Amino acid sequence: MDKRHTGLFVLRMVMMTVIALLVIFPVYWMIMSSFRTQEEIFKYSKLGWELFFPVQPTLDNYKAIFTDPSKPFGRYMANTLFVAVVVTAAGLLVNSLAAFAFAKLRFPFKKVLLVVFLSSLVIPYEVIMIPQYLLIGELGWMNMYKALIVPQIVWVFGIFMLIQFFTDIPRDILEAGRMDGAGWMRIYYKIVLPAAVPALITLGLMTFLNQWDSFLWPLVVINEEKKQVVQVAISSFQSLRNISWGKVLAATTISSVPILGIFLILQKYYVQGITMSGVKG
Amino acid sequence: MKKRAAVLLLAAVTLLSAAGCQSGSKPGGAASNGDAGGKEAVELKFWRHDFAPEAESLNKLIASFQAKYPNIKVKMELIPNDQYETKIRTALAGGNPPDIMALDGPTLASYAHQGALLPLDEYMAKDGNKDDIAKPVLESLTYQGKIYAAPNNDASLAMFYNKKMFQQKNIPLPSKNPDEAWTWEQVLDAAKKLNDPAGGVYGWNPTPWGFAGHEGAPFSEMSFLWQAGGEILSPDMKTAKGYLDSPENKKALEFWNSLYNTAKVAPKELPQDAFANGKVAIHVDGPWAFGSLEQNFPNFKLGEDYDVAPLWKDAKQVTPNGSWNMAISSKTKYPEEAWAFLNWVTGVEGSKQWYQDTKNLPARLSTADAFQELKEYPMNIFVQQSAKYAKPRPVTPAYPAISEAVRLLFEDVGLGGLDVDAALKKAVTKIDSGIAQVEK
Amino acid sequence: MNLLSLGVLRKRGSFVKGFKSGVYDKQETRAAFLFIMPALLLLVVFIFYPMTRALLISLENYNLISGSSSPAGLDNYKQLMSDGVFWASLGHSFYFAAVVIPLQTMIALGLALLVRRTFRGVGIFRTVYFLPVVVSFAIASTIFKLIYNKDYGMLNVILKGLGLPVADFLSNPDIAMIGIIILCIWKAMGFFMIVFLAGLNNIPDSLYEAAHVDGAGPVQQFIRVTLPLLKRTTAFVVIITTMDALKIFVPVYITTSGGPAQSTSTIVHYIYETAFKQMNMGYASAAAFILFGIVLLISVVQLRIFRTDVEY
Repeated sequence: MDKRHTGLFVLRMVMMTVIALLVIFPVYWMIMSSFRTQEEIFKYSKLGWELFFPVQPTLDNYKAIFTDPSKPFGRYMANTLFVAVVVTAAGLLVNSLAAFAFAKLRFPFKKVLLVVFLSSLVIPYEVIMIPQYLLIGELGWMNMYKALIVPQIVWVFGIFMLIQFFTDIPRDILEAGRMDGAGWMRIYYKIVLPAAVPALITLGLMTFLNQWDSFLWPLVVINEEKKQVVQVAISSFQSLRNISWGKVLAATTISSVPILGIFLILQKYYVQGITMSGVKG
Repeated sequence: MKKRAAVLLLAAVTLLSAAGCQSGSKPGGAASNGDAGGKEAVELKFWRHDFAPEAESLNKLIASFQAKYPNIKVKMELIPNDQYETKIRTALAGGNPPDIMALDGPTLASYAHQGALLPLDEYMAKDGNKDDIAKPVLESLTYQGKIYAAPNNDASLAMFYNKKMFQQKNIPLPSKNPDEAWTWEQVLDAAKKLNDPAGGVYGWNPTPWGFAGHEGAPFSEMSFLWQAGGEILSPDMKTAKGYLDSPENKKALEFWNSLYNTAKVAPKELPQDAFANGKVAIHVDGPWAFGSLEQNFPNFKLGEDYDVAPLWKDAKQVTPNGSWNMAISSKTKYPEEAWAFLNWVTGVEGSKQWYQDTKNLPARLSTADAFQELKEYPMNIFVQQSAKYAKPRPVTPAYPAISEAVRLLFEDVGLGGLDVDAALKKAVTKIDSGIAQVEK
Repeated sequence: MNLLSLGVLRKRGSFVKGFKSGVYDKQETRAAFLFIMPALLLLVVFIFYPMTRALLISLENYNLISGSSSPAGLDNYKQLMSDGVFWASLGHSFYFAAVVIPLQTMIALGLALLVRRTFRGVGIFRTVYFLPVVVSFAIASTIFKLIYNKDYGMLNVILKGLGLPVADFLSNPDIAMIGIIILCIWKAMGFFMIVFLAGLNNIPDSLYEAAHVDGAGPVQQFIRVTLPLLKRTTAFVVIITTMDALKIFVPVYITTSGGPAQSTSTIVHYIYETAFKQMNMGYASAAAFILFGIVLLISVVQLRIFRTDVEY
């Protein structure tokens, strides 16, 4: 019996490790290649250690992206950080309020409204981009950060995700709150929010990531280089006539660092903490 | 709790009403102001795709321009190369384009057709030194008899080959004389000898970026058809039927098919930096390649490791042309000032400076004349090809459909396993429906 | 919006009844609308208003850059009906979705089951599996493009080194879509793993104990307890995956640009090309609204199939 269990456990560990290696490989490749010289990146085509480690490790790619005065990469990161933080904060508030109402409150036309919300997820963004751009022009928001922030706050995907989590909060707890004379707003932030911290962190991280990733919209709305965001800057390293892959990979690595950092710091609150979330009655 | 909710609601309502009020105002209201007088302070917006060496040169030209015209300020915005068209088209859609924009040759007719560009004929006649611009280039910038842009430079392609590989296989090197281009068959012969699948070496890569999803592919592929003696459109540019599906083009595409699927000398997926890494023996590239090879592959040297020969030919010797230009938006408030800047950069003196900084193939004869190195190997190949053998891509507002159709045509034959007749039929249909669309 | 009302028609009666019998608490209703209002306002201004405009554009011959337009009635829609490229790209999207939805859901659930129990080091595995979620989609696509190269990409170098056949994902029209599918599953599975973990976590242990007492083995426990109780979570995963899958664009745009030979040209890629390259905005918008109708219909059907007893 014990032996069988150990065997299963080992099998499972092996399987999990193999999957983990496969999953992490592309990320490893990106980071590793960013320390190669341009000549090295695509040179090796035979299985061997050179394939997996830089032969002449170099920091030149990183130096190049941070010392180019015409492309203040640090500044682009700061711009992006600002936009992403504001959208994340505002988005968490707006989306969690709506999700709470949909998940726990009883009111007329709920289903209709829910489907209306859902329908906004269905339209391909590329189509409403032009009308949205026209709208931003009419609002006089062109080249302003509010054009990057305000339209991004509501995120129906996030609302749906939170509905999933909020639904598991027993209504009894809320009713008990009502009995104590608390208003719904108070119930929301005293009872619901604390119970859904892992979900909120997940959503916050994903919102942040979305903003950090955002590319097409800032590209068209922002007309001043010093206000530009990081993904637009990365794509400017790729030119038809000369792609500096070393720089591109260094820039993508650097731009992934803040996200990975936040993720690693927070992950114990939700990737780990999700299984012991306090929402069980 | 009530207060909080009220504040929330108030904020939301304010937001909406603000949106409501403002959406009443006119879009692009700035467009229709009267023209600006002489010495008033003027700011010109200028958008360009990002390419570091060219951006540096432009910055210099802007500085010298502003020194000469202290009342005019030029604000240049650099846009990532791959997304330049998306950005400029969105801005045109929103009615707030920059005063001056960089313009890729083949997009000109579409933009001009939609009234987005200012015709430059008067300015060109006044002080633009029009006759100094190479004829095929000027032709590519003329739509319905009017000139809509001034060229920064021209572009061309030549055959790049790995000299050491040629020597190893004892293959005679191609001539460096622009008039003695190798024929397709000659290149294929060499390619077959150079091809080494076990060693991961492809004999011949016939299109600079491989099967890319962008204009780079049709740029070279159209010349391939022209080299065979084929055409793409009828002379009046009303149809592709009977022209694109000609026997000459069929022959060209059969040859193309053999490169990828029978002789297998050409890479279906072009590896990154394939030529510099010795993975492609015969390559095709433009004058810009010298700079980027020098920067990224300092150990791969012209004359030692690789050399350049004129672009291959078949029934005819034809090379592609056309590159980036500058155009003025029809909505600009400052056409005079915009032209002054345009002419500063693309004029006789500006072009010389531009060549010095960027080493791009000049579009002006005076520039080609002014530099000894342009008369010498390797640049003389590009210069002379452009003067004698260049053929511009069709100047028609249906060009986006044509470009797409040609790109897919070569992909269908090279990668898709479609037979030549079926692929041509598909391309003809696509082009003709594109032409019909434009005429709506 | 007619489709919407269809889906909820059945419920309409109960709304009316609700009002009459006073099922809805007045204060609660007011609070609910207040809570929803900010999101709804933003949606109306920044999504639905542009959508309405796009709908109007779809009824015009609308050139992107001139903005000049002439009324076209339903011409764009009619023309689309006989546009082979449009249907082919729709087909590619459905093929993508048909593979990704079940496969990704199963993989995500499998991963969740693998890392469900707590043991030393499980956190590392959860973290690693989630890692791709926080890599930018554009960056991930660029990396996969480089790794996939037929002769020199890492993937094929390794495959060749191991004596396996080469996977030419970028130049073989027959398998190109599979390359994109792998990329997308790699990117998204970690997120849905977390969603499933949360769902699994809400299944009380007592149910498993009861099943165990009844003599159910692990497989039976999974079928009899886990699956039924994951219905709502699964519904969420499937609906969201469907909508994302049918709108897939960025990885296609970056890795293959719809090639080789248009084999990966999905519907949104087709729409993007039509709008921004061909500058035929009216036609592109019409294609988008056909897609919109299809996806909406599927979502509504899915919502009904997955309808659970749990209240929303």
